[in-house]
Amino acid sequence: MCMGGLFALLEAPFIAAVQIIIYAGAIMILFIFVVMMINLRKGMEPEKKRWTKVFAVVVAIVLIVELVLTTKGALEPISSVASETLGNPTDLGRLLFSKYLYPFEITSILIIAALVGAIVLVKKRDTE
Amino acid sequence: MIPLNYFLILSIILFALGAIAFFIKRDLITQFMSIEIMFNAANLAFLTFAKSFTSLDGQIIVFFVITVAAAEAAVGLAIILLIYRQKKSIRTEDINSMKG
Repeated sequence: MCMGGLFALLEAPFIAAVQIIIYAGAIMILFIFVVMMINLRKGMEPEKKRWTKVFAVVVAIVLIVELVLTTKGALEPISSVASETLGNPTDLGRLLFSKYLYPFEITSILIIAALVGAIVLVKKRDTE
Repeated sequence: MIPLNYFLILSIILFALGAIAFFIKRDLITQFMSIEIMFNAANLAFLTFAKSFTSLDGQIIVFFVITVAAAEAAVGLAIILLIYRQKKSIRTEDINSMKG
């Protein structure tokens, strides 16, 4: 949730607002509903297998090293020029409806498909 | 002003933590949350590079990623509910049969 604050620090106020709205309003509510419906009474027993933990930690360390090595020289062209209009929602909307019009429409279709798919999946089939 | 490298390092660490949680944990909901953490790490990296190159395209991509993450959460949680109804469990060891 505090990613929203970080996004606001990165001169992206619109994205920060969208992040907070969607994560607080949609995804957390979905998680809470599902946890409520699943209703785990006995709780999870602790994990027994040690080797998966060791394997996961090794993989993660390798991943961190690799990503750091990859992105070490990537931030070279840091333009410290203070651009006040970088995360401007006006420019963002204009770009969204001009250059990225097709992806925008495709995501709307995807949202509708996900809605219908979720409803159809969870619906009880009483008459098979 | 915070240096942009810190944001990048934070995103790398978040991604690695999400991967660790995905591999270690054995229930579906926690794995789902770790997937969300990895999405957020990727978003943070996108925004950092967008700031670095002073371009708006990264922010647009983050917008699309958030949208797709919301859709994915809806469908994924529906699938988790369905699995729980069939198996009465959300542990990944218990989901070992196809066409159950």
